Amino acid sequence: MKRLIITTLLLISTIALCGFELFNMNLVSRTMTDNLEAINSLVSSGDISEAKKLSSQTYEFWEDKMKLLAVFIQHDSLESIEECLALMNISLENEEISNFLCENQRALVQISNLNDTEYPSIENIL
Amino acid sequence: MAVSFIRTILLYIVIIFAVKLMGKRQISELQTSELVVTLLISNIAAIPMQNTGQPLLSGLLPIILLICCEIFISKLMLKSQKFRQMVCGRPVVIINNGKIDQSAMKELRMSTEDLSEQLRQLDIFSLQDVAFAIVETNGKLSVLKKPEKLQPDASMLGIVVPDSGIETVVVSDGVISNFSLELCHLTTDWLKEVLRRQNVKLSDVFIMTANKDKNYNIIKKEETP
Repeated sequence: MKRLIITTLLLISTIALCGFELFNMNLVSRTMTDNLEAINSLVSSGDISEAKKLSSQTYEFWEDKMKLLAVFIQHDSLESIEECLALMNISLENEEISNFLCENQRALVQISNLNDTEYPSIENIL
Repeated sequence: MAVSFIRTILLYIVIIFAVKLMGKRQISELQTSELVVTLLISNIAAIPMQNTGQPLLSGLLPIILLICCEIFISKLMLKSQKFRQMVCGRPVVIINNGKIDQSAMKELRMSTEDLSEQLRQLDIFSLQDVAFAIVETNGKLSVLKKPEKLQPDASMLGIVVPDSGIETVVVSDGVISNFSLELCHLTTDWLKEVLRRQNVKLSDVFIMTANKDKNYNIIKKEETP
């Protein structure tokens, strides 16, 4: 009986962990996507200083959340997004708009892919 | 390297806990599902040990889930014989009353060499000695010899053998085992009295065995040069 109780508790814990991961992944990817799109809009409208501020905040947000996500997700994927964001920041600082747009788009795609791969859909399971 | 080092220790602790949780069945003869789980756990555990880019949870979670599945399935097998048969199969009689069931052997993909080998491992060197042979669900062969080939035991010879009960290790490397003493219905006081009479200190005892008839055997530790 004791074994069954421990097993049930372990099962509930693993389900809770999976739920926690999905929730955080979803939250982070939505925030990052919104921010990256907002930065893109600011750059398109010519407001570079606001875009730099938001870009820096986004990078700090990612660095902060990465510590939690690294517990659940492969580090390679997270590090490559971090690289994109760093390059995006530098491009914005140097006002290299074409590089910025490249890295911005790359980051958006990678975040979208990361979210898709972590979601328990039929395609991912199979 | 340090990360690998710590992860290896953590995973080792988790696997020991997992094996303990699955119970003593895991340590002895394995059924099909138990064998699958054991192999999977060992393979899964190796991945985060070697690849530090992989989160530790990606190794721990599958291990925990496998243990949970194994325990639930084993509980279900206890409750439902049909389910047990579905998972583990049924024992198959391949020698019935001295006669080999060739179709059963074909079904098990068991050759005559396999049968002879398994019989030899049970110290049986002639098929004529076997009355029944059953292949169990874990693949092992159980054999009942013909009555005339059985080793006579004390009851067959009409000999009354004194029952001295179980002999256990009551002191191991200077440490008293209360569990073993209880098993033999002995007490710590009796043990200490024996050691006092033998002029042996507890810390000098390498191994001491005893049974319920208070027969004991003491082996002292070797003196270090």
